[in-house]
Amino acid sequence: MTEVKNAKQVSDVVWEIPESFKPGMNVPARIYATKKLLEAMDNGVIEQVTNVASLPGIVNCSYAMADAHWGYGFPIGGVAAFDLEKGVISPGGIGFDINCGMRLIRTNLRYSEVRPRIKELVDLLFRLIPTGVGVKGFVRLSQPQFEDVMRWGVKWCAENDYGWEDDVDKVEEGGYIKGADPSKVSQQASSRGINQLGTLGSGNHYCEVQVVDPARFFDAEVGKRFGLVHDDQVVVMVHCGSRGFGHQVGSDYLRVFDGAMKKYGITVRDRELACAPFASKEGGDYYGAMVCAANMAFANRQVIVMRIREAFKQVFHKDPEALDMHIVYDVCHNIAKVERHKVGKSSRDVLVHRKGATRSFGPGHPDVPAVYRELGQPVIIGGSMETGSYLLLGTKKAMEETFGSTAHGSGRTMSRTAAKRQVSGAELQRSMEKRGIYVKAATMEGLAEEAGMAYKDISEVVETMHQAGISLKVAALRPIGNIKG
Amino acid sequence: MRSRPGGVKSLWPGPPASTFIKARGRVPTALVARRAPRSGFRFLSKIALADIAFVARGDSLGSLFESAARALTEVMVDRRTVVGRVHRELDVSSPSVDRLLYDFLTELIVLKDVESLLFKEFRVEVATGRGFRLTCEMDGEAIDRERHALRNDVKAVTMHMFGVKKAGPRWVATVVLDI
Repeated sequence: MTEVKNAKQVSDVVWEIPESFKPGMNVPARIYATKKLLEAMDNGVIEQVTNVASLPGIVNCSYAMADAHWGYGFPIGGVAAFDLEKGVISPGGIGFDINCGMRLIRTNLRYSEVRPRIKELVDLLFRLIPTGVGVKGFVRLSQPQFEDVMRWGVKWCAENDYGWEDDVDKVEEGGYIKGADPSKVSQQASSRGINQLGTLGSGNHYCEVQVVDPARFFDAEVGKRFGLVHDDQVVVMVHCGSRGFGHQVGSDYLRVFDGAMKKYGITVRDRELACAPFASKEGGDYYGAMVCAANMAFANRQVIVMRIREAFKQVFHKDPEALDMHIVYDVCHNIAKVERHKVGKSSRDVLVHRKGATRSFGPGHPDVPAVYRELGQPVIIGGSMETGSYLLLGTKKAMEETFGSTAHGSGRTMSRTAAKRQVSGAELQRSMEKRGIYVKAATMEGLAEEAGMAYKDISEVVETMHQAGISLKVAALRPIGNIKG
Repeated sequence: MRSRPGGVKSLWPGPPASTFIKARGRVPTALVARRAPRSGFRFLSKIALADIAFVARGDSLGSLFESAARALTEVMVDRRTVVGRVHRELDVSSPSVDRLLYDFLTELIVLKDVESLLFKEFRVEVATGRGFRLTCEMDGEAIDRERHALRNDVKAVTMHMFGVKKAGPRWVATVVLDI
């Protein structure tokens, strides 16, 4: 049980740890959690969210969302914004899997149509989408082509037959972030990434066939605007990132920053918080390389979507267009971006780090795609393969309180090693099938590590953020088929 | 020759004296030795929940690095299913001993992604002079999805709690891998 000295309860679901909590904190830390979630939160979160509050140039607060758990450097579920002149950029505040994110694709199929074919569909998805340790993708690229992917992300895909015309409009940042600089990417990083476009990876990454849960379709009007028109409509969710490419960019610059901190007189409480001034050469170089990895991740999910469309075409004998397989949205949850937010009494550009946290921009924001602008952006929250996921709506309150950010998933409560001790992969697979979830995994051990019991109750996480007004519930999505690495 | 330099600054207080898994050919969750062997590794289940942490040890820097390489590999594959068909040599230099371990483990992750190679055995020698340098001879093979009992695709070595220290006569390292 976590007890935080001097924590002030701001509301039923917001807790503030003052700067006096530990020496060196520049701003308070804020945790979004019910009392139950806070008490269950591991001490690592408290340690890490307050460590982040001690970084140079941080503004307003260091935040931990309701799904926060002990990560490396920043907590997973952490949000922090930094002044562009006095503040830093930190690879540990983004994660090695740069632009790991979620994508949701709709179909016009109902559960009753997909249920009899789910095994065939999942088996085909497993064959078409490379998953697991050290897999190669199916897109062959020259180095110049890979650099185009780094620069243009989904736009490159759409121009090279890996996307539909309107796909780019339904991806955060229009499918590519500006500022990519391939010259700042190491040869080793390129070598790791060039053959991995279209691969899922392992760990908690997955591609999941889901159904809108009729009993928990909270806002059918907003759902309709997002393309969810039936209360048992089938959708597909993809969770993955920039693969070995992003991982190597992170490793390369962690080493650079570990050395650069002395030069800039920066000390941190955890080496994984290694950072450099955003306005420095090292900071600028990392940003240019990080954006390359972010754009590769957008492209990775895009290429996977084309394989998903192909699988549905083969199983249901209809063109993906006829199945209405459009993207609902694509969100990053491991990223740093320059965004305009309210700091104190004025608005200015800041560098927002989201590590295991999702953008949750509200109605009217110019960065929300035109088709959703009046409502706010769709927010995709991925849960465990047993308990399901959520589609939410971004809010104005998130813009005011959390730099337009909310949670990203359930958040682990149990280590991978502990999960494997409690359940075997084969046992879990059988149990899930009995409950109507057909899962195909590259490894049985990996499956056991992702058991639902290893995670927090996603509904409580989502309810917390809804109650706080940071993101609002639209629909719960129930898994019926899943492939994982 | 393996060297045993002293006086390397500790970056982490070190593991409790407790049980270690004998490194060679064992799975992480099984067969825990009653006495701590001179080299080996132990997975830590209460650190960085979404990732995997381990403590490795050795009676020399060379054997410490061998233990760490085995631990990393066990996260990716059951080493008992890997055959030593491919021989590789690595030569890595770094300014500090902990950075050398970071760079060495990162090289193994890169080989997994770029050449699809996983290794079963490692023979490491560490030399000191101006900085640290290791040479490693390794035997393994290309990933075979039918034959290898694959586990997790390791993303990176993090610097969270990362460190190498001398604890009595042995070298000890703590590593958290991003999964």
